[in-house]
Amino acid sequence: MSGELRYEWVRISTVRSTWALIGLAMLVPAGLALFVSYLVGNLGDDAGGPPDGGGGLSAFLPLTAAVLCAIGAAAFGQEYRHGLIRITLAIFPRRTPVFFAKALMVAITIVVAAVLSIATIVLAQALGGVIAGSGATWDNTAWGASGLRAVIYVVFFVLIAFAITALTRNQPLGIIAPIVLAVLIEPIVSTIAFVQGWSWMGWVLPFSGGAAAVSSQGAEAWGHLAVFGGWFLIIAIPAWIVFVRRDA
Amino acid sequence: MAIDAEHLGKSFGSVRAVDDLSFTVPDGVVTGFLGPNGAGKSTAMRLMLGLDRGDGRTLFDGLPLGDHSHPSRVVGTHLDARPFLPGRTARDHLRMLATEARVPASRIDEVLALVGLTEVANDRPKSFSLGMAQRLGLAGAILAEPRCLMLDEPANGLDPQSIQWLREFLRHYASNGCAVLVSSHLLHEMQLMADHVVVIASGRLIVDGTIDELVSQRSDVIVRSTDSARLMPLLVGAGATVVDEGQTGVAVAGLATDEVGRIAFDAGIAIFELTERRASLEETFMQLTGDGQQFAFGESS
Repeated sequence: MSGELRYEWVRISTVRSTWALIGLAMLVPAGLALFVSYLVGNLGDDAGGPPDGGGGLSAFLPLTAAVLCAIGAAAFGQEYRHGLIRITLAIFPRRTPVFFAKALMVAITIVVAAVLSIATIVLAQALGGVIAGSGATWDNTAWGASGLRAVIYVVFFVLIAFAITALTRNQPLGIIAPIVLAVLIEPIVSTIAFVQGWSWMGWVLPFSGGAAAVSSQGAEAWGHLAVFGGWFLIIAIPAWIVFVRRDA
Repeated sequence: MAIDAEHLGKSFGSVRAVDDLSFTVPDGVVTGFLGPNGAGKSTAMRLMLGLDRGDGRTLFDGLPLGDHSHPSRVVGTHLDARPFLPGRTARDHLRMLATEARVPASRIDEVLALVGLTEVANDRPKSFSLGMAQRLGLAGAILAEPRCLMLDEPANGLDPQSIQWLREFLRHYASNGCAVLVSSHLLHEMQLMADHVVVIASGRLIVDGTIDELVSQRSDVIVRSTDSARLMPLLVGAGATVVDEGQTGVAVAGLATDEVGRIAFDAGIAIFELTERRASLEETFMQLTGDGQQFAFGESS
């Protein structure tokens, strides 16, 4: 699969949008974190602390993931849109390694982007406190297991965009569907579940569960992350099977 | 390295786009792949490369493409007019294609120079004309110096000088022992470029042979003499089919010029003109595929 990985690395690294999106994924959540941290610092103890138990990180990560979704969706979306997939599959006739090389290269890129984004969020949070005069507060949840889960959360989020695009060959859908699910559909479903007392729903919804994996601790956090990963597989496995069987 | 397509088949719903299509693309010559619109040429090429799923198989030097260790050194393809990302530079596009066979950077510069794109190598091809896009596509196809080329309408959008260059380039490429399959609607150009043709219509094979064979079957001899009325029965008696074309003379099919001349000489008939009238590839193509066009124009008023 080394040839496929080299191909994917050149593919992903030679489009400006990859670098622009990584930059946006660093700057936009960090800017928001700076603003929120500044407000919290100005309001003092009455503000009630960071947005959640995750030190605020889990509040900004969906924004990071949403920006990076386009990188995941582009892995297949750009190729189908511009007919490149026929060149790709003429060079690499075995389709399964192509699918996994794309997924792996997207995942590696997103790991790097997520680490950079988390680092800038943490720096921005600290800087916001300094500007507000309350001093720098370092978000300790960005390190260790919690930080690792944060990175994995972003990777799964983007890989779901990747899998939706691979399944549907529709790049806009691949970008929009995870974002709509995460910020619109799941909050509505969660509200209904709360009213109805369906506590189990918290273990079913992928994006809410993924965010909970960052803000919670221990086995529960890893459990949420496993559910999120399971949802990725539920979409990715049919996408892989269809990719291998259908016309290019 | 020859390409052997065996029993290719593909249906789209109830439409049989390619039906039990078998042919060989020999090495050393350019093979033209001809057929009317909707004949199934592009579908057949995609089937050959395993891009579309269907019946049959295609062997490249006796092996399916996927069984070769470096497929990009086996076959180079150019199937779409603009097969690249508009935002990726021409050089980076070729760098990407070079990864499979680890083609060195110097070869990328070489093919860019060969197709005349050196000056725009670092430009993004979103502003490329169709001709420049075709050149980039061709550069990608030949990048790894494959032993086979499969090109779908590569001359579209090229100016006459570029078409002449493409013709000479492909003939030279084939002369190195490579198999070159080119589909085109430019029949006059194909007659100059190709030595061998595969003609299909409605997804089925019509002809697989050399252009000379194909055209000579539909060529005839024009003879103008002092006494056509006496000459024509003598020619029919020798097995020819004759048509009196008036002032043009008598069209004789089934006999060579030498045979017609000898018959006239033996009968003491003076001849003013004796010429072979070669059919063009276009005329031959029209005869072969007359009712095979899927999306034909209406009758002109």
